[in-house]
Amino acid sequence: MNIIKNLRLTLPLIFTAVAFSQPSVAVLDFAANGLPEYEVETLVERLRSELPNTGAVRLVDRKMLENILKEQGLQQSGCTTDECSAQIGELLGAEYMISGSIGKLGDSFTVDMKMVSVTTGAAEKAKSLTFDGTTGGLLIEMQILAWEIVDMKPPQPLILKRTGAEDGEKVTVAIMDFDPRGISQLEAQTLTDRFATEVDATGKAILVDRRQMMEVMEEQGYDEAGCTSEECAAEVGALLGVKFMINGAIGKLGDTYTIDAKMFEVATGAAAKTKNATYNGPVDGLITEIEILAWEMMGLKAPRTLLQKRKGTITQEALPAPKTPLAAAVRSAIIPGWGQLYTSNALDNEPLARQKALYFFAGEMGAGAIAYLLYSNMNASNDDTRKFHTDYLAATESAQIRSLKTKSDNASSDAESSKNQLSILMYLLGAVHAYNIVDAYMNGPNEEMASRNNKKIDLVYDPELNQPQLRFSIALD
Amino acid sequence: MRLIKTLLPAITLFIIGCELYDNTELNPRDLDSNYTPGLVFDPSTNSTSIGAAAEFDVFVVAAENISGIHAQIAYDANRLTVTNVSTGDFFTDSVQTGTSSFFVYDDDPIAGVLDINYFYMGNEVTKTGTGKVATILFNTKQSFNESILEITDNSELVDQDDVEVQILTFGSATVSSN
Repeated sequence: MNIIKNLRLTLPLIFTAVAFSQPSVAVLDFAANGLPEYEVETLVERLRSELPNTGAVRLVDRKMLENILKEQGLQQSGCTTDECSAQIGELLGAEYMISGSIGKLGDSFTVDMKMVSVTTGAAEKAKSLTFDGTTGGLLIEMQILAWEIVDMKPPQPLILKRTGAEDGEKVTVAIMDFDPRGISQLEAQTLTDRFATEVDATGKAILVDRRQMMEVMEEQGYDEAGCTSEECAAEVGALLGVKFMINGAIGKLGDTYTIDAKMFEVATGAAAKTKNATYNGPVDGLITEIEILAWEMMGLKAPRTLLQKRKGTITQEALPAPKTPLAAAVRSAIIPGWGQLYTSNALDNEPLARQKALYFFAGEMGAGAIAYLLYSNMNASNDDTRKFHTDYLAATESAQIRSLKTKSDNASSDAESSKNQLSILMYLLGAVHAYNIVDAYMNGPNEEMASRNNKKIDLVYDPELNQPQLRFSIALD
Repeated sequence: MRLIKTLLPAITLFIIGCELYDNTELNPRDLDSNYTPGLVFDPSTNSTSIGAAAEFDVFVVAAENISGIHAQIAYDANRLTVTNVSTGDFFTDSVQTGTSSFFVYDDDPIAGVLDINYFYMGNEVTKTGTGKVATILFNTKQSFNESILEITDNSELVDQDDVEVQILTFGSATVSSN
C-alpha cells in the first residue's frame, strides 16, 4: 500500500521532470524563395507538428510566439540572422530556435534550416535538402527533417512513405534462406540467392539485402540456421521493418526436387501466398524453376524467355496454365459471370471480379427466369385466343358470340402484352450478355504482366540505415 | 460489334418466331344489335380451284318471331354455277313437335339469281334467333381473283301473319378461284 501511495505521489513529478528535461524549441516562419507564402507556411507547419513526435524537444506554441512578437513589435519576416533568432528565443524562453528557407529552382525544391542555440547565439545544427518531386513528397521530407535536425532516426513508416512502398506500389520483402532437405546448405543458399534476385527483377518488391539481414539477425541474437519457424521469421521481419517475409524449403527425393515457398505478412502472420513445385530434370533446370517461382510468388506471370529456358517436367502446381482474356470472354459467353470468376482465380481471388461474376450470373439468371415466365404466359394466352376464337367462329347464338369474342380479344391482348414485354426483356438481356462478354475480355488476365524487368541498377532496402540504397548487379552467366 | 451483329438477329428471330394467333377474322353472325335481323353468308370468303366446289351457308341472324324466309342470292353466272342447295335447320328444331317446314329453291343460271324459300307449315308457329337457312354449293367455271355473292334486298322475312319483317343486314361473300 505504501508503495502504491508513493508511486501516486512521485509519478507525476517524474513525468514533469522528464518533460522539462527536454529542451524547448521554437520554429520561426521560413523565408519563401520562388514559392508562394502559403505553401511555405504549410510545409513549416508540418515541421512544427512533427517535432513533438520525436520526443526529443518541447515545441513552443506558435500562438505564444506570435503574441510575444506582436507585443515586442517584431516581425518574423525580418528576422534572418542567428542573432535575431536568439533574441526572439530569449523573449520566448526557448533554448533553441529553428529557422530557414524553402525555395524552388527549376523543378527542384531546396530546404535550408538551422537550429540556433539561444544561449550562445550560434547555429548548433544545420540541414539542407534538394528535392526533385512533388510538393506532396516535400511534406514527407519536412517530417523527416524534423527528426534529423534533432539528431534522431526517422521512424520506419516515414521512410516507407518516402519510398512509395506504403502506397502499395512496391512492398518490402525479406527472404530467409530456404531450408535444405536432401541438398547441401550451399546449394540451398545459392538457390535462395537466385530466388531473391528474381523477386527483385519483378519490380514489385523492395528487397532487404541479405548481408544486412544477416547482420541485423546477428546483432539481435538470431541464428539463421535455427530460425526456420514462421514465428521466428515474423520476429525477424518485424526487426527488419519489412511488410512480408518469404521462407521455404528445397528438397530432393531421388531424382525429384521439391520446392515449397511461403510468403506471409509480418504484421498479422497470415500467409499471403504459398507456392510449391515438384521438378524432374537436370539440376541446372532447377535454377530456372526457382526463378519462375519468384515471379509467381509476386503474383506475376513469368516472362516467356524464362519459360522457354525450362528443362525437365513439372509434375505439380508450380505454374498455372496461362489464362487469357479470350478464354475469359468465351467462358462468359457460355455462362454469364464465368469469365469474371476465371479472371478472379487468375488474380488470386480478386474480390471485384468475383463480385462482378456474381452480379452477372444472378442478373442474367433472374432476367432469364422472368423471360421464361413471360414466354409461358404468352403461349398460354395465345392458346386461349385460338380456342376462344375457334368457338366464336362456330357460335350462332348472339350472347355466346359476344362472350366468346370478348374472351378471345382479352386473351389476344394478354398474349400481345406478354410478347412485347418479352421482346424488351430479351433485347435487354442480350445487351447485358454482350456487356458481360466484353467485360470479361477487357478485364481478363493480362498477358503483359509477365514482361521481364532486367534491372541492372535497382533499389534495395537497408534496414540498418532505414533507407533504400542503389544496388548494381552484373550477371556473370 | 461483331458480337452485337450476331446476337441481335438471333434475338429478333427468337421473338418473331413466337407468332401470335390472329383473331381478327369475324364471325358473319356477329352483328351489332342495330343491324339485326340480317341474312349473311358463312364463310364470308372462300378460295377454291377451277372446276372445284365452294360451299356457303346462308344464315338468318337475330330474327324475331318469323315464320318464313325468302333469300335471294345474286352471283356472277359467267364464273359460277349452282350445283346443289340443301335445307338449313332453322325451322327444323321446331318449337312445336309435329310442325314441318317447307323448303324450295329456284335457280336462274343465266341471270345468276338463286331464290330460296323456307317456311314453317301451319299457323301461329314462329321462330326467334339465329340459324342456318340453306347450304349452297357453287362450282367455278374459270380462274378469277374475286367474285362477289350478294343477298339482294328482294330477300324477305315474314311473320306468322305474312307481314314483312325489315331486314337490316344483307350479307355478301367473296369467292376466288385459281
